[in-house]
Amino acid sequence: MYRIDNGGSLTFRAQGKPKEFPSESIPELKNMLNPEFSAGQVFAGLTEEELKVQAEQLVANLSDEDIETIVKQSGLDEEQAKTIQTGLIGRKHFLVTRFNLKQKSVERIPIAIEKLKEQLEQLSTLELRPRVGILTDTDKIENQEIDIIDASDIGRYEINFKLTAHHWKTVLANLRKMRDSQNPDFIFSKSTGFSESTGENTIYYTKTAKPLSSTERQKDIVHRYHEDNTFRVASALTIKKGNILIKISTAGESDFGYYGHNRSAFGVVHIEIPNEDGLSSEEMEEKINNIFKDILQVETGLTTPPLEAEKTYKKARYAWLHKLDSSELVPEEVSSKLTREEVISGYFTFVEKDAHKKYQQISPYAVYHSLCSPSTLPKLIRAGGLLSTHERYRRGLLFSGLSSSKDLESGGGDSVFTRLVTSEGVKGRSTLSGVASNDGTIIFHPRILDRTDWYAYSSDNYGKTSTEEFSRRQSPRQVFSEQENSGYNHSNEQMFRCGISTNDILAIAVTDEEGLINLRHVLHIDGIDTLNDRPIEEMIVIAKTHDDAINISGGKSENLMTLAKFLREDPDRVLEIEIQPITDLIDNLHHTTRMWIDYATTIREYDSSNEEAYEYITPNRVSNRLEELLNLMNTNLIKYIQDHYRDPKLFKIPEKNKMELLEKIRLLLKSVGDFIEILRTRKADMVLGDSLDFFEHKIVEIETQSVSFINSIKEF
Amino acid sequence: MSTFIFNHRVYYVSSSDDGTVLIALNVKIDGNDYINWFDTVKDRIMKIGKIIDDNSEHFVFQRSDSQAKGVYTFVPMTLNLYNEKVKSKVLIPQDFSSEEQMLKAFEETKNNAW
Repeated sequence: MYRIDNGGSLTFRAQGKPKEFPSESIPELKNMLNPEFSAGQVFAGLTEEELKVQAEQLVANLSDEDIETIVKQSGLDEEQAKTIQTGLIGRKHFLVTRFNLKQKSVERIPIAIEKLKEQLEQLSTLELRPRVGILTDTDKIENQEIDIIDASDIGRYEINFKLTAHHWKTVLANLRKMRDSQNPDFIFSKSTGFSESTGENTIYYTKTAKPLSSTERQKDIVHRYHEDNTFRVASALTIKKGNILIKISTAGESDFGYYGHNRSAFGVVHIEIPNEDGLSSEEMEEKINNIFKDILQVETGLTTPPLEAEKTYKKARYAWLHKLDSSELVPEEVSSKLTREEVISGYFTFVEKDAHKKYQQISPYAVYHSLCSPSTLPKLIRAGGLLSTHERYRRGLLFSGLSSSKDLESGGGDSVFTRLVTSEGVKGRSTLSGVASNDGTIIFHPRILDRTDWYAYSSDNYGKTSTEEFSRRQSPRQVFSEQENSGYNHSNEQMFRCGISTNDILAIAVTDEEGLINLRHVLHIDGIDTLNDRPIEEMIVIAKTHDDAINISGGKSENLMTLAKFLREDPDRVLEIEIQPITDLIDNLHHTTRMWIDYATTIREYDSSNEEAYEYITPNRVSNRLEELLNLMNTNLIKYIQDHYRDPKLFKIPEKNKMELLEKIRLLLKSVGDFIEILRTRKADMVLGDSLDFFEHKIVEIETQSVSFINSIKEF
Repeated sequence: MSTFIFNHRVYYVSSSDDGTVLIALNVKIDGNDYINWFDTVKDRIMKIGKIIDDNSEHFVFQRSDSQAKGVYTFVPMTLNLYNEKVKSKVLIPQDFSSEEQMLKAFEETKNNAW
């Protein structure tokens, strides 16, 4: 029996100590061949050719996606998994460059399609189409990434990406030349303007719909392109390749009216591939590859970005973030510090690990995003994070037709907006103002600033990306120095490309205890108990000042009131807050009934032609109000409990509130009785006339139901 | 500086200096220095430099943020304003038979902005 010592591996040395695991190089290719080391005595004989053969086999058989899957299944913690995944993928790419290997693009689309299927169920309730990102190209596609969207609800896959500014202009110019010379290899759409039957010459996004059969789809096709379901993003130069439509945005140069100005559509390429029976994902990949090479002049097709191109892009991105005049000014070591990470499902960017710690040394800070309604919180959690307007729309989430399209016009629609407050910025004047509200304010993990795809303005500029405005954006250091020198400006803004993952949510802040309970209900109704593997009760917290928000961000929130703490320490107050909506409902009904009595009395005592009173007590209104009252007696309490508690056993009414509630109900019922009595005595000249019998019948019903309603309160 | 009460549900916002404004809901003056509102997509916050005019139907202020000094006007949204100035600039333009219907549709955007 022999025991083989595997030696060092991944992030461990042979003796178990940690070691560097760079993604930029494979030092072991030298070390392990060095006969001065014990391993070298074994491997020193390997020739360059033998190494190349092994590298070729590995690159051909191990996709980036395979590595991702293996690491995911390993059970490593998030930090370790990230280091190893980045290292392995980077090293695979290093082999491609080192041995000058030809990398096949095969199977990237099939794997992507499998991933799309995995997302279908999770996103189905949101009407948000699944999307995955594929890294590709060197310098012609923005962010070296294309997105595939599963739009099978309208019978197709959609591929979206942006060409870099220069290449976009080049491609458009070349294609127009071909169109003008009537090159037979390219069939251009001949129609002009938007066509409701085919949607040609326009890039448009359509609302997600329930899946249809192919027959239904044929019938429904005109409806799909109908203006009620579509958002017209930009005019486009459209080329047909078989039944595939390739649309290249002409935004900014077209006669497309208002929408021609959408900066978010600059450079956009939108490819529509019918989801036909019989088209395998491998065939689809070949078609896309050819479109990239032949039409979009992206010679590398769908191959992954080579290491050198990635290095160049890293430097360019770093220079862009820090507002350096040229990539040449970027320190050489930066390329080894930046790693490409999937910061939100399907979207990649470079991340400079721990850059946020340097910013925290300048001044502790919090990055936050205010919600405009608590009801949006479950939706964004289900979607995996906050998504930019453009990202939501192209994935079919067009539910609110009256939303302004101004952010797409300014270019801000490509990003999610946050604001930032620093300790230096609020020194001596830390107040509630500007950060928290009971609608909920998301406080992000400070590492969000490790991303290299964000830009900032010192005040609300709507994320504009025009050349002039963009030159005024702030570098990360300027963001901090501005607050140190001029104080915190509530309206400052940072724009993060595409979206921000729920993984980066550290807490959700509200201003008081009612806010805590309300957010808990909103999440519980949606079946959301945990976020980032933490109970939501620990994540919902009261922040009353800027300093509170900064402390949360810095991990110093032990003195703040979380929902978990509130539930534990003040259960009576919790129940009081929970019963409030029922109390408010009864008060409201009582108030209205008293008002009716006043009107009815006025009629009796003074003037039956009192028009105001007659107008108020119409048969219809009385009927509606009695119905509301009956609903309360019949179901409202139960419905309330069902809406707010998946386990009604958790619902208890404190004794003192129980007495108060019963008294309120007694008064309400008495008022209703008084009202009907007044109506009865005035029956002859009341506008209600014959309806009175019907109302009396209703009152009896209410009185009967009220007995069980009162009993149900006594039980809780 | 007094605190202004914006008691209309939706406003039409215009500025000859800033093409990014259009619609405002939940308009509030915060701490007497900042005006904030929800614009159907995101929250907007601007520092108030000077209030030029205000009454229940009309609010005009000059902004005082580092490089932005534009003048902004808020007027309550009406069906006429919607049809003339706003309809062509929303995501999916709709026709409304009543003002109430239009206001409700704008208010619905609050539940869908995330």
